[in-house]
Amino acid sequence: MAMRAAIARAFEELRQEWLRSIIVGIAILIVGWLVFYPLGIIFEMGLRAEGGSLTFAHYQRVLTEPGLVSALVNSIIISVATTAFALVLALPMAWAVARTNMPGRQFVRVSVLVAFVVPNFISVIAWILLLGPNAGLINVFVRETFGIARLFNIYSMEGLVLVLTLSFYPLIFFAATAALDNMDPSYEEAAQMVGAPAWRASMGIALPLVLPAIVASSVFVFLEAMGAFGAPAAIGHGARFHTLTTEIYELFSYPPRFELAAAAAAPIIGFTILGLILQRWVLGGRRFNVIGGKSSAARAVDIGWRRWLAFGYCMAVIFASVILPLLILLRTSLLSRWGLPISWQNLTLKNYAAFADTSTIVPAALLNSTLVSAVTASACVVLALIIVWIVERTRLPGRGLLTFTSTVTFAFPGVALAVGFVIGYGGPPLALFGTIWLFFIAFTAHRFPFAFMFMRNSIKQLSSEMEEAARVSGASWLRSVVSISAPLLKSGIVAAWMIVFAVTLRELSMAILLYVPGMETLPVAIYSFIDNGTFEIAAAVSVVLILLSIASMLILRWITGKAQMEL
Amino acid sequence: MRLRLLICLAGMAICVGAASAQTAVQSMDELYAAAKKEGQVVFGGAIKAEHVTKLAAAFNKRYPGIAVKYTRRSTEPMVQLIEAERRANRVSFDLLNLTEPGDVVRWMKQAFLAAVPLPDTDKMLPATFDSNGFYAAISVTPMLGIYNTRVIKPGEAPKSLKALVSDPKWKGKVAISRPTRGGTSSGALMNVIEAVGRDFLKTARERDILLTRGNEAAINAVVSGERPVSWGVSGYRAIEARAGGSPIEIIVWEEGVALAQFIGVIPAKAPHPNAARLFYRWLMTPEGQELLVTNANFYSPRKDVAVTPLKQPPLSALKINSFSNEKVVGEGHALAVEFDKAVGL
Repeated sequence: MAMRAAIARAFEELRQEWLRSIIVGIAILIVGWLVFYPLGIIFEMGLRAEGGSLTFAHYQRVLTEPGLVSALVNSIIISVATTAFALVLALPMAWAVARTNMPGRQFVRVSVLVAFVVPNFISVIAWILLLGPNAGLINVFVRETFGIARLFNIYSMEGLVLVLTLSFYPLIFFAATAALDNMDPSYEEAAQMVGAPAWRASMGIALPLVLPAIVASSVFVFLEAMGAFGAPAAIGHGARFHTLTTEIYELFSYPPRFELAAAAAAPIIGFTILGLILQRWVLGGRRFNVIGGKSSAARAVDIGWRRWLAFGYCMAVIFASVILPLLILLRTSLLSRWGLPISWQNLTLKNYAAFADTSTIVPAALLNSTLVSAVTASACVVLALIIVWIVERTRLPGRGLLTFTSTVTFAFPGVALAVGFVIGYGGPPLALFGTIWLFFIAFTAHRFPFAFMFMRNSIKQLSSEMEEAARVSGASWLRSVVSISAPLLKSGIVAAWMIVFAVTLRELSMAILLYVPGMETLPVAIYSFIDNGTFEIAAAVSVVLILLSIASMLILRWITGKAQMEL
Repeated sequence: MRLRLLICLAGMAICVGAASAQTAVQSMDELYAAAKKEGQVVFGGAIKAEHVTKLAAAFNKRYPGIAVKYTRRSTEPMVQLIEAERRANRVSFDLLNLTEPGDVVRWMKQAFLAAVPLPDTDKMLPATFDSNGFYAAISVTPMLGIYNTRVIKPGEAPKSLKALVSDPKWKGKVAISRPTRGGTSSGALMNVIEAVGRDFLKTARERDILLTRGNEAAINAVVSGERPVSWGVSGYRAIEARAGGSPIEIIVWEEGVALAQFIGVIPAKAPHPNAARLFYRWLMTPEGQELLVTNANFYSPRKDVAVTPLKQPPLSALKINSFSNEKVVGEGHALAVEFDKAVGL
């Protein structure tokens, strides 16, 4: 009897191992295929001469041609400055929101989410309207009130850094608040009990503990800035400078030089690899198990009158990153003719009627965007759960490579990556170009790093002891993941889904090459209206896109409860 | 006997000639019969979507059963899409409308385009069509100068390109669509260089010219007052903006203005070739041209279409500097690249 039970248990274990191996193997294959197939196509293109023979000439030109070199240098300067300013903006906000009794903390959290969902190709228009050197509303006000020629010229490298900083600081804010929220506050409380001031307790105890999240998110901000296209294209023309992405985009124009464009994307892959190495070096072998089997609620530190100072700081950042651009967009969306002053004759709601007008691309774009974003978010989260588990919970060889694979597409310029997909999926046996399936695949490949990063941060802080206890009690691997890890990671899963949904909703740089007539998404529609000169309708669609993003987060908040919204 | 034979041969030659002409230029009825089976034409280009909607309604009234599906996209991103599709061995569009002759000529050489001879090219402006039928300008528009009437009083507006690009008064005051954007913008630059000479490129950087992405953005920069003057924007957009109440006025430079072409082409592997030919040919008829002029505010490349956009003077009343597509291809793009370098891009 005992023998039969032992054999049955052995078979069951074998079955479980087999099942686990299949799931893990399929997940690795999918992620590998999603990433390496288009990258391989692009890399191979960079090595091809016009006649098809092998050459290194394109890669050589990237490092010697003055235009490409200056674009590379500009990209590095802009990305470094954006990361530094984003840290300056985000860290005090994250600390004030997660650790202090500052008023309006929930409002700040939601507002930063809104700042994050406003695409920089839209916010840059608002900033040009505000800080254009001659006609920008703020510069005009300063000139007429104080007699100063101008406060700030948006058509400059500093202007681009401003727009990108206000667009990307939420990434550091999310990561830092999530880490602070998940950290056991008793260490800081103990420090305060022995007389350390709140800020010193945080600097000495909380900062080292949240450092992995800060470093990881800083690297992502740097890479996001390297890969940004919309804002650099809008400002770079006016300021007469290129970044690597705008240079790559131009290489696809007349006369198209796909091979050189592919080679020009190599430095961005290089920086991505360097970023990942930096992350690894900073994090070392340390682990951060601050979520254990017991839970402890964070106690808000009373910072006295300084809470109003912190509140003022947060409000200033939110005003600049959310309220001001949104007001400009709203104002533009209500004008019948952009460029004319506001008057009753010039006010209208007709720009919003495009959503009900099936002769425009807007209704179809709304449907396409929602569908593509939801499917992409779901696919990314499911894959990320498995891949992160492999990376963090197993000793499988090649985990470093898997981590690299999972993050390498993060900052890859969407325009360049899209070329890999267009060519790679253009003909049989993978003839998916022009179908919604290619959107799902391409967006999942491009946005998977977001899900991976958020899930990894969550799982890093989750001790494996409960999973192990479940396995010891006889639960299968799948059951321990689904019943123990997944519920504990619910916050991270929802956060990852939300982030991927939001960033996919605003994705333009890939969609602009992937779409064919009938497959437009909302950002493509906005871009088309801007290109068409109909700023008023572009602003109306932008307002709805932003409202849709906010609404989706509020619905998720309602479904999952307040705690899960606290990233 | 010999005379009879000659008459007979001459008669046969006339018949064969007529038959081959018939093959080269299909009748509209033949095209319509074939197009009805295809059911739709996918059209893409730089014309504003609302204008194409009106054109499509008129086309459907005359040729019911053929839906016109339109995608509005400027020339630069449209070419990127087409090139991406070509890499994927795919053709989505039946008819394209571009402003960059360089791409059109390149595609023609690469056998990407179908020859669709037009029946009455003798009625068209010179240099607006290909003699082999691979392309023809669906419409034309002058690249007009504009200025902001709130910032500059009418009497103080610049009159010559020479003054605009050399007088210190206009330094930091000019906005243009970046010349590498497409044929309209590079044509406007060629017009400036023809007027003031190539030495201008040496001082271009000092002029602090605001470069925008496209003509509409250049107009918006002038309308908002960000820069109060432009040396050349698409005339149809400028005319429309002024009619819509924007505070701008038009300048026809003393040295003349360039004429931009909106070129129509049909890919050789268009999914709906007959519908494409029918729509293209209809657009080129006096009826289609008049609708293009009255709805989209272009000028017609047909000499027999007298109507002008929003009661503007006819092209014959303007000093037009006409650059052939060959000249724009040969010099325009190189000049645009040189200009880019000169201003620091």
